[in-house]
Amino acid sequence: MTRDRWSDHPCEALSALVDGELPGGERRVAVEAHLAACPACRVLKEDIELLGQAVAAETPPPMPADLAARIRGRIEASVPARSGGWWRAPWRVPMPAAAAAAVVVVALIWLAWPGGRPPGAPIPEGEVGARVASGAPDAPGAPDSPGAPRTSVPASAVELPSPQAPAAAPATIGPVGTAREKVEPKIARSTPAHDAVAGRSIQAPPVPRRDDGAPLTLLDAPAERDEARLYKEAAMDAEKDAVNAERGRTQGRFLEATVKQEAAAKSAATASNAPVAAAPGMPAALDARPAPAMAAAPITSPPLEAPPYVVRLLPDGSMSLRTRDYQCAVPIAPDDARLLATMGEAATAGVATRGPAPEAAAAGSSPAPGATSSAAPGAVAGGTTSAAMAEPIPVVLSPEARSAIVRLVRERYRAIIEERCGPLPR
Amino acid sequence: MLRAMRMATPASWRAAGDGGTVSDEEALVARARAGDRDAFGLLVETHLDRVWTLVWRVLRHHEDTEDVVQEVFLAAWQALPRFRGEARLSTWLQTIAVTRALNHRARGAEKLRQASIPLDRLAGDGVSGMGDGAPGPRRPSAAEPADAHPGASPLRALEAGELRRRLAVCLEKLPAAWRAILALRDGGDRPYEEIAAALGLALGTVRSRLARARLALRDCVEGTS
Repeated sequence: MTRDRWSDHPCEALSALVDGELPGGERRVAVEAHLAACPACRVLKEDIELLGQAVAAETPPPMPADLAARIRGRIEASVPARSGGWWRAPWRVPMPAAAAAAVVVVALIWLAWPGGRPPGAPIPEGEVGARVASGAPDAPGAPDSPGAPRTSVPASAVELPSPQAPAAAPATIGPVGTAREKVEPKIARSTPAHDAVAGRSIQAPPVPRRDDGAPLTLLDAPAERDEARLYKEAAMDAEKDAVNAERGRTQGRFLEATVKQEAAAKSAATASNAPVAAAPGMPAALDARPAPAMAAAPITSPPLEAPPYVVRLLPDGSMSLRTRDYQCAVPIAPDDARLLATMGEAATAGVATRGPAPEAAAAGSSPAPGATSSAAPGAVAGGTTSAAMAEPIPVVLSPEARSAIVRLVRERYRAIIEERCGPLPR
Repeated sequence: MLRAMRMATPASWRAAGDGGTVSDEEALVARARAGDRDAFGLLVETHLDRVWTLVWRVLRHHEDTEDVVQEVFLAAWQALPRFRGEARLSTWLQTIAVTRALNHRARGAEKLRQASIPLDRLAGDGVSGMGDGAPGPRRPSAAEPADAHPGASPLRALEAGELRRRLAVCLEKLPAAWRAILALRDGGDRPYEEIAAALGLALGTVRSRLARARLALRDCVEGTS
């Protein structure tokens, strides 16, 4: 075996010597002395040189004649995405990696929330259940902040979470990729059971339509706050990403689960018009906005393909950033790795994970001080079904943890990530 | 002969050089960054051959290479506004290419394909003989290959065609990460530091991984019939 045969020889140094990468000094003198006395090493050195030349001489198969044209075609097709589409407001700050920006945007919304607890923050399960059961659109306790207008939401907008709850997630920054076509029908879905739980009568509002006749969606509604507009754009960017995804590669049930939870929590928040433990960063202002198309949309179960981003600490200490068809691992500083590990431990503590354990969580389960793991299953489930409560849920990061991850991804490592793996997907 | 072949390889990173003067390329990059697709198209034509070669050397699969090469340039186009020009465009593209190729390889059926190949001998993580410890005095060992190598490499005795055939077989057996490092070093003549940056590895890791890859390749070529 290789390792046995060469255990007494400085093969690594010989390899570097061939490449001219062995620095001078005593080390080099020792290697050269060994080489002079070791026929096997001389042969090895020759072989390394020979094989290097052979590798360099290896000719790949010819590329397709139209490859350049195909590349150009794809670039042409991507131009609107790069230069800005019709949906982009003039004031919009360029967001080349829209999904990643969505992380930032959502996080900023979260962090900037004036009331301390953002609308998406978890509240005790019983409180949520009571609000849902009350059937009052403006239930007591609903946020009165400017960002969460007290909007009367038709009962048909309520979607209670599916009992098919998702697998647990590692520390997740989301929801950053809620595609419009994925969110819209779920919000619009309504069943008698839902309405019965909500205790409301079904009143289908008139369906406003676009100029082209298509029903208006939640995302067509006029933005009421800058944060809401930012979020809307982020969601639309994510929609484009989902649409442009080349193939239906799946990153496993986790992503679907995350989106399910996200939509469920969103619906619950919409129903109660109260802060509910949503997937992190969901601004309630959006959820509380009237959704004109909700009653007209068919009851469907659309595929869940929206790509949240998942940040993980890998066993080798590097950071993995992943979404459905993009992933990148970059080495990070030990301090940052420790930070991620700490957040992973804190965020996953107490959450019954199913399936592969996230690397960050594998390091331990004791929560770190200062970082909260606050996604109470009951709160996410809207206090509706025990089945949903029994299922693991995506973790909700504290604002501090979210901010720290955003800093890691956006400020410290984004350039490295994009240089290594190309631009973050839109 | 091999040296002659190497010189004749038009697509290698070493031989390809730049497709024009640096200032020409900088001007094209500036135009492309401003959204000029024609300028970027010229850059694609300049670098396509090299990117194709590098990606193929990592993937060794024609259709996958087609896909990844397109992804590379699309990614480069989208990331171009953030290209700071600190590295040469060819280096930047090379980094994107090798990363995309490895990411592509890491997905899908490759894992199954690799799992079906007995690579335990090749892919051992840490060939102790690669250690960079002090070589010490020459001492005979029963396990060492000295007797089998009476001063001449058996690889030298191979016909060039046979060597190429064995090399192709063995390169396919190597882990993609090892092929990537060989492609960058032997195929592209890139310095260790640049390889480390492209692969996100420490310099020492590049050195040791390259040595492991070379030793495994040598053993494989030698033992392949």
